Amino acid sequence: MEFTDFVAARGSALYRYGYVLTGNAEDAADLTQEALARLGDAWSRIRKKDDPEGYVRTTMARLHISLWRRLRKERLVAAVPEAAYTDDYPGETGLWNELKGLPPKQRAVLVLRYYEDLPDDEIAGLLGISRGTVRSQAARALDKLRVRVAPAETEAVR
Amino acid sequence: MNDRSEAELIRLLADAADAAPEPKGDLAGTVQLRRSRRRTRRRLQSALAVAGVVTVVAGGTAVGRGVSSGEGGDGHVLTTEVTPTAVPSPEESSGDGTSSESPTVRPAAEVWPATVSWIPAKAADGSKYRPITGLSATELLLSAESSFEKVGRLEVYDTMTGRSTVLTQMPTPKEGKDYYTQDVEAGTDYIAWWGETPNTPDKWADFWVVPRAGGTAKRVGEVTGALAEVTRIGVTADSLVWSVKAGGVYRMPLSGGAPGRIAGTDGLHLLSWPWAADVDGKQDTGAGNQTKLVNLETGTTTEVNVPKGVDGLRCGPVWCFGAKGDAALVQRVDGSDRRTVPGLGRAGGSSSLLTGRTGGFVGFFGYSQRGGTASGYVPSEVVYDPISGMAGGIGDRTNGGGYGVGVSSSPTSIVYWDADERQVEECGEVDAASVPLTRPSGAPAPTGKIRTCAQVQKGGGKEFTVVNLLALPYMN
Repeated sequence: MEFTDFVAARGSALYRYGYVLTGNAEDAADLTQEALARLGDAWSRIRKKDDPEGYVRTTMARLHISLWRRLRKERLVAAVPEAAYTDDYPGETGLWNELKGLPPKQRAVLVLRYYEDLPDDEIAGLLGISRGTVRSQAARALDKLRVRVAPAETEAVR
Repeated sequence: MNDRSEAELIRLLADAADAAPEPKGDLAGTVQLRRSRRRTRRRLQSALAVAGVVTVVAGGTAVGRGVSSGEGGDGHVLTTEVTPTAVPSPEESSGDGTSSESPTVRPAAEVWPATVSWIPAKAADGSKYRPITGLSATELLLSAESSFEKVGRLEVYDTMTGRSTVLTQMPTPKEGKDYYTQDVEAGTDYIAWWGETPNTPDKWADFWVVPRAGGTAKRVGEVTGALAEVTRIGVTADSLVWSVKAGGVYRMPLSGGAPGRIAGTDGLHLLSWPWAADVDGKQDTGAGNQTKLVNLETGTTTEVNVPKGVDGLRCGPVWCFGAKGDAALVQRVDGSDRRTVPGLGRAGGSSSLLTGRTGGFVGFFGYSQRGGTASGYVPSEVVYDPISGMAGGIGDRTNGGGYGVGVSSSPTSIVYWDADERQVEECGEVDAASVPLTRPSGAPAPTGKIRTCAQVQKGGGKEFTVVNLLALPYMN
């Protein structure tokens, strides 16, 4: 598979993942572009032995919690004239807006757990933090969002 | 009261992903544009290209926010006998407790006037200067690049006389433009660098040295495969040393000969010869903590006292810097003198090391205080001196905030910026056919060219403001 084919096939799904990770369209596009650019640079290596989709999703999660987005100056925006966009998810606004108040790492942990459906030890490996940190970040975030953890899952999660 | 369920959260995230607004512009095109921009700046920093925060300094040239270095760091010399000059808000260190106080951040030029100099951004022949690291309090090692694609030469700029002298030419051993010199390392007797062919599938790298006094560059040797995935290099009186992506430190005699792995270096990465760490300081996010520091000359391993709740902890021989919550964490390797510094660093973010005088390291952090300082000054980054507790601001975010970090292999002593630059939008055309992704479903496939724009730095290009931490006013 060529890199451009991968971008064509997976770009949209990756952007949606970026959208739940960042909470807005501009940052989602930025994150997706940057992660794909890095994948493109490493393509010959990744294609051979690794999983490109996993690589790019990991890169996106890590970039999201890193200093990268705050500090980068080369922000690429496209100037294709189309309809105006809103950055806000038009559906249920309360919880979505409250998610925006979370620090990047807490948000990343929630997205990986509840959107990507990953177990805590995989989240730990992916973000390069300990399992304990995953649990504490998730617990703090859920508490802030007033989400109760189902009793059945308490065993597994805590 | 917790009145929401996990199922609600799962549903919300799934729905939000489905309802995500159509992204503006084209994905494949912007990815392509980004990659071509990355290639142009990869010459001096390909190790950082996959990693690192990229900040733009002048005329669109970007440098990675990598760490790099002075003289190979015999970092023992910093002691507590240092008497700090007047500090507006010194932190208090209380035994095993952790103190916490925001430093007053003023521009580095006000805090440490001796460290700041202004150098031309270009040589007399038009070559662009790129600062690498300080060689002493008054000498700066620079590379001069005749064009993006051309490997240039090394120069030493004397901040006292304002004059630059050529140290050596940097040869291109492989024909064509596939060869890029990478990080330069300033050792005690030699200046060394390595090069590679990052845009070809081969894993290949070569190493070069020139005497510190200058002369003709000599190629030490070349390597292939996993040995060519260089993270950092060092140079001693008789050997070139380097660490590789998979971990492990190798050595090659300067006189040439086969590379050999240094025993006991599994999983280690060079920090700055002879120091190695169990994390790669040039890693992407700086996540995870360094737990040990190894002196490869003596074989001594020092365990780092890693406190709970810290992330991205990186240690030199004396001091460690990391993040705790939304603040920076600073301590000695054994955990003493521990403090958090609100306003610097950020949760989940990394800090990096810069080389201060005599090889001691200082911390380099993001500035997170919203609204800036009392005077209205908002630095891009902050250099934090753990001994005096003083903090010097780098760059000026209200002017766009670009800055560069010296591109040496070990942590550099140089941070610099162009005070005259500003941000503008620059547009180019890409082939619409390369952009299959982001049009609304059902819309016809675009044809012809699509305009794509990028924010780039403009203006400036005449002078760099350089902070050389080798001129920090310590009294040893």
